[in-house]
Amino acid sequence: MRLSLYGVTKKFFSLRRIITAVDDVTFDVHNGEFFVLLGPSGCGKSTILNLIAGLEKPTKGEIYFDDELVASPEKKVFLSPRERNVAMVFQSYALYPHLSVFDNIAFPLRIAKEKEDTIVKAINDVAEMLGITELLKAKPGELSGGQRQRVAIARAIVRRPRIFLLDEPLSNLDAQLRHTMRTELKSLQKEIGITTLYVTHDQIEAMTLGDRIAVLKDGKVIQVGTPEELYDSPLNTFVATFIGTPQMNLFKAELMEEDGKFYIIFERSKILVPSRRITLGTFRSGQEIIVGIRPEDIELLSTSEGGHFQGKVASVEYLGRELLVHFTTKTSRFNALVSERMVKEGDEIVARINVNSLHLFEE
Amino acid sequence: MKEERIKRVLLIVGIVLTVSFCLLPFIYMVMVSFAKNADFLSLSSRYVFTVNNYKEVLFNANLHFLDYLKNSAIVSVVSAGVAVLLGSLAAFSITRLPLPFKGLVLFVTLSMSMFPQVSLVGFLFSFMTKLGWINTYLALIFPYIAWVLPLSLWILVSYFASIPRDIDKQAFIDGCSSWQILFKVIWPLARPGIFSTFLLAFIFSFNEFMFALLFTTDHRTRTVPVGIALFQGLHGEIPWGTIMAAATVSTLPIIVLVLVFQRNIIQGLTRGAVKG
Repeated sequence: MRLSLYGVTKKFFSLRRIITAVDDVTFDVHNGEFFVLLGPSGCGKSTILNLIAGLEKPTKGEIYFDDELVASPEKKVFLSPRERNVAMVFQSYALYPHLSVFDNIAFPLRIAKEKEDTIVKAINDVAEMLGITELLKAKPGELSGGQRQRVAIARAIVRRPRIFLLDEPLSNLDAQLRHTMRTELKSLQKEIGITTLYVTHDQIEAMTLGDRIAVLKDGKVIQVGTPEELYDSPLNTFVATFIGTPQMNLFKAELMEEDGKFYIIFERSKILVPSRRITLGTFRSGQEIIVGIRPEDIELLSTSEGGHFQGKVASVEYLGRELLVHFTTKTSRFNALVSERMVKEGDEIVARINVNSLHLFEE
Repeated sequence: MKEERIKRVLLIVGIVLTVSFCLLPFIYMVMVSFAKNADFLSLSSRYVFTVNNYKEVLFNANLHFLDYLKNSAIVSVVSAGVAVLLGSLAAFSITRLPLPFKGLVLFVTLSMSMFPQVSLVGFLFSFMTKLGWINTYLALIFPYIAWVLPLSLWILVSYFASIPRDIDKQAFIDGCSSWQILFKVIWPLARPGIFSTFLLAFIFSFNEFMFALLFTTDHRTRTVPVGIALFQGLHGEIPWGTIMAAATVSTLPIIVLVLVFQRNIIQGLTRGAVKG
C-alpha cells in the first residue's frame, strides 16, 4: 500500500495554550517500503503515527491509503482504525495481560469474527515465523522483553494489515537484544513485503532499518531521504548533527571567492572547497557560513607535517578499533576518529581535513 | 536471640488481644445463639447447648426470617450489580474520554455521598409514597444504588486509571468498539476492582437499616437488619437466642462471599488504597 500525507497539521487545545504537534507535514511512503520517522522526543513523530492509525483526528490536511482518503477534516472524512486495517506495535508492547499469548494474537482476528480454524492456522504460521510456537500457552507476564516484543509483532502481522506502524518498538530492550531484533525486523519486513512506518529517536536504528527516513523537528519535516542521502548531504545543521555518531563537527568560517574558486577561511588557514560542494547552496563571497566535517574525515598529523589547522589534544576515547580524539583549536573544539594509536592527551597536532567531505551551511 | 524471642512473644500476644477484641461480639453472638437461656453469664445459671434457636429461626414461618433473607439478597444483589455496571461505565468515560471538568464531576459525586441519611429520609418517604413504591423492592433498590454509586465510582476510577492507555489504543487498533474495549479488555483487567466494589456495595446494601425500616412495612419486602430488630416486639420478652441465631445466619452469606473472592478483594482493597 502507498501512504500519502498532504499538509497534515495537528493542534492540541488545552486551557492555557495551543500546541502544534504536527505542522504541515507532507510525505509519501511507497508500497512495501520501510519508512522511518526520526526525531528527538517531542517532535511530533508519535502523533503522526497516531494520525495515520486513526487514533487522532488531524486538524488540517489529508491522509491517503493508496487512492482512498482516510482522513480529511475539510471533506469530513475520518475512518476508524478498524476501517483502515492498520496494525501497530507500541513501545510498551500493550499485550493484554489477562490473555495467553495465543489469545493475544487471536484477539484482532476474533474481533473481526474470523472462523476459529482459520485463526488457529494463521497463528501457527505467524508463531513459526517469529519462533514463538512454544510460548503460545504462556501469559504475557511470564515472558521476557524480547519475547513480548515478538508476540506484539506477531499480533500485528497476523491480520495482514495494509500498513504496519511501529512506535519505538525496540527502546525497552537491552542493547544486544535490540541489535538482533533490528536485524530480524528488517528481514521480516522484506519477507512479508508490508509497507512499514517506524518511529524512533535513535538515528542508528533509523539508518540501519530505513529504506528512507524523514527527519522531524518541532512537528515539521526537515528532510526526507535515503540513509546515504541524509548522511552525505544533510540539508541543515540539525540533520547534520542529528545523524551520524560521533556527531559532525561544526565551526564558523568565512567564505571567499578567488579566481572562480571558493575557499573557506578558518583561523588563518585557507582551505580550497571543491566546487561540487558549493553548488548545493546559494553562497556569496565574504559570507559567514557554518562548515561541517565528520570526525572520520579529519586526519591528525604531527606538527612537522603540513595540515589545515593546529590544535591540542584534550582527551582520547578508546572505541576499540578506532580512537575518538577530542582536540581544541584557538576558537573551536573538534572530534576526530582516527585509527592510529599514537595520539596522547596534551599532544600538539595538525589536523588535515578531507575537503571532499566538507559540508557548508548558511547561518 | 533473646530479644528476637521477646519480640515474637509480644507480637503474638498483641495479635491475640486485637483479634479477640474484634471478635468478642461475634463470639458472644454465636454463643448466645446456641444457648438455651441467654443469661448464661450470670452466676445463677449454667450454659446449656441447644440448636433450638436455629430451628426456630429457620423453620418457624411466623418469624419470616427466610423471607427477610430473600428480600435482602434480592435488594443487595440488584443494587450492587447496577451500581457496579453504572460505576464502570462512568469510570470508563472519566478515565478514557476527553471530557472537560472530570475532577469536578468526581468531587461533586463524592460530596453527594456525604449528606447524612437522615436529611434525605423525610423527602424520600413522601416521594416513595407518591410513587406508590412503599413496601416494594424498588423503594430500597433506587436509594441504595444512588447511595453506593459514588463509592463504586471512586474505586473503579482508580482501577481504570491504573490500566495503561496503550492497552485501549491497542484494542482500538485491533478493531474494538468502545463497548468491546470496556467488556473485553478493561473489565477483565480490572476484575479485582470490580469484585471488591461489588462486595462493598453488596455489604452496604445488606446492612442498611434506616431506609429499610421506613420504606418497608411487612415481610414481603422487609430486609434482615430490620427484621431482626423487630423480632423484639413479637413476644413479651426479648428473644435474645433467636435474634443471635438470625444474626449469625445472616452473616454467613457475606462471610462466604468474602472467603470465595478473598484473593481478589485483598488485592483490590489495598490497590484502591494506594491509588487513592
